[in-house]
Amino acid sequence: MPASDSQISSRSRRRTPTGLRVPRLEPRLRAGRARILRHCSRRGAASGIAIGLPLATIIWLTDHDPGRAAFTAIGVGLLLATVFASRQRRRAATLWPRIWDRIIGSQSLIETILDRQQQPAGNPWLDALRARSAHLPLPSPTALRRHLPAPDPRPSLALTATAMLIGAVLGPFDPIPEVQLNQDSGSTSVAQISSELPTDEQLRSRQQRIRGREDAALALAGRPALEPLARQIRGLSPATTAPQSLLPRDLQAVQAALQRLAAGDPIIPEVALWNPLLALDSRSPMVTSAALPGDGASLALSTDPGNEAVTRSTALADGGSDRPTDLSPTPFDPQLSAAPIDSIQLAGTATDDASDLRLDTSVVTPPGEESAASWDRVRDDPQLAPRWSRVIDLYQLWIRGKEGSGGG
Amino acid sequence: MVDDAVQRFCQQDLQLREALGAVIFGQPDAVDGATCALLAGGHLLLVGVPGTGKTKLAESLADSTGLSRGRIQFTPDLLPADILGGETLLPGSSGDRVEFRPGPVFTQLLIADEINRGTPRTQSALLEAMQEYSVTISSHRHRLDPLFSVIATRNPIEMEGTYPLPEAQRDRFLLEVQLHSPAPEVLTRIAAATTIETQMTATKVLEPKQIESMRQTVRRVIAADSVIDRAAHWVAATRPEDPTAPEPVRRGLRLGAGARALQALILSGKVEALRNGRTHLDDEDWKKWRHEVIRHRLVYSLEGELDGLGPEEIVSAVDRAVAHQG
Repeated sequence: MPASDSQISSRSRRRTPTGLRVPRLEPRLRAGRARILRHCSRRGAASGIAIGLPLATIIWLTDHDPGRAAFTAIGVGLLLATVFASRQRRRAATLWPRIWDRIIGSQSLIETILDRQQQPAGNPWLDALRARSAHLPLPSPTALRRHLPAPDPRPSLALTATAMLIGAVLGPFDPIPEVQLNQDSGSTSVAQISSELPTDEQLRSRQQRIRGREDAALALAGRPALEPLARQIRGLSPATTAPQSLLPRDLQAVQAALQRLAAGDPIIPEVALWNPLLALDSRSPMVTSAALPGDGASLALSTDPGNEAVTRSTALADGGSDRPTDLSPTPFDPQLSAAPIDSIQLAGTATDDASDLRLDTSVVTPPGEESAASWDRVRDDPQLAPRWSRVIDLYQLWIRGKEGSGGG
Repeated sequence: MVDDAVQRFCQQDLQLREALGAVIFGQPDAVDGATCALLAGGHLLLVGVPGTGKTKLAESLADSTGLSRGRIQFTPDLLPADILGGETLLPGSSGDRVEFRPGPVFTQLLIADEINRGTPRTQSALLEAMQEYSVTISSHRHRLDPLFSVIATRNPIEMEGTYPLPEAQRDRFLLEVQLHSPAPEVLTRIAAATTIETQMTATKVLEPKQIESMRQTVRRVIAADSVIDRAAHWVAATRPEDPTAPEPVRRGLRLGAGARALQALILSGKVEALRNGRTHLDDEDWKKWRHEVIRHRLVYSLEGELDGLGPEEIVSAVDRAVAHQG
């Protein structure tokens, strides 16, 4: 009784470990297939090693632990070889009939025999074809190497040599500093890094400064004229110049901002420039009269209520009147020269060359026991800025003029 | 037995080609293509300028194979009945009777000379005959000879009074074989052979029975599914709507090859395999006649025509695309 198609099919097929159903092959076809698959596996492994060799070299060069480096390098090489070998084998599993046909020059013969492997006998043409499979020449290793050559090892070797050369030139890669925390080794790196790190106190100071600036900027909020200053405090814009005139409320806001800034903040002098009185106070050496060399004679801003500047300042502190503060120099009034002088007042914007400094002669401290010699000593001091020398000159000129006119 | 069959086929095929080559000078490819179509059991379209031997080749095929021939000179006033035949009222003593009088289509080798001179209506009369090997007249189906083949000729230059072949009819031709203008030395041979007293005709080398046997041999050639699959992918890539179609196909074609083209590729490939002494089909076999198989099946888009795309460019592009797909 002839076998049914299903019986033939079940006989001619077998299950592979991977679960794929492949037809049962003639011994010669099986031998040829094994030979091709073996060659393809070796070829794939060679490709994997060719790629893995430079990689393994780089791993070996970068790792300071020789044992681990060797283990990793060999592992990477083996892994790549295995992956590439199995990939090539898998691809060859479907292409091996065509590879065999190509090698022995039998145009699609193996492919056709394999295709009709499952058909029952009885067709003389098919039987004749099958009979030929018993005499098929197996693909020789030489022919396999000729048609499916192994990858050229030169690029891989060149890359490996380059990696080794770079490794030899650069030396072993330095470990990452943070990783070496062994303080017993006497390494200076930890100490250096620790010394370069900011201390807690510095961090606190910085935080206070930032917070102070934020508060100061808030104090200026809502005053369009002070917007540039607020931006400068926030660090959003470079140093700005104060406008010629400010409303008392603006000046009051500047005052409030200055109070909110942290002590020692380097921005204080720049903010103080927006308040002319404070600017003088913060930048003039007169406020630090004790530091002035001399015989104790000093110029100081008087707190006398009669002093116009103080009056203005006090008025501003009390809310002031909403009229622009006139910062222009007060013209000389000869009638006032006869009045008793309690103090001297400087008005104007502090500049480097003191070009706009003027003596306000409204109230002047009487010369008293001040001597010209002591003023000369002070004036000739090399540490004194030229503008203050000019102030002293003006003052002495004024004194002489006063003496000459018989006043005082 | 198989080897004998293949050997016999090769021998008879060689005899046939030699017999044709003796009367058709300088057109070996056309002779190979014409015999291939005949042995594959398909219809043949011969295209060439006047004087290239199209009709001579068709008649020589009939002469060398001994197949019965019918000849139709296509003209614009030709009617379907002139091709297929019709029912005629015949008076008789016992009364009038209607009798079917077969047309020239009832033959083994039908030579349709200058087929594009017939109107589309007349050309369409051949559709059923070419595909079904039968003719239906007055609801009565008339079988054609199993060896029925159409060999049509077409002049590609002359446009006056011609009608383009409908796509459906063009698709029914297995191959379109082009005959090229002969070289000067070939012209010399033609002049010398045709201007003498004896008329040159092809020698009869085969019998119709042998043609039938050869056709059966062709059908026995084994084609692996994987080989047919590759041919099918090649055909699919000639369709502009196919995702694997290359850019020239998508841009330059409106209609690509279909199922009949694949059949033609496989059948002509099988003839080629036998000619190479093989009992199985190889990729090289079906690729041999791919130009002739798809040339007349392609419908170009306006852009393709403007760019002057031809079957050579299409075939090259498809070859590259299919090879790239692996």
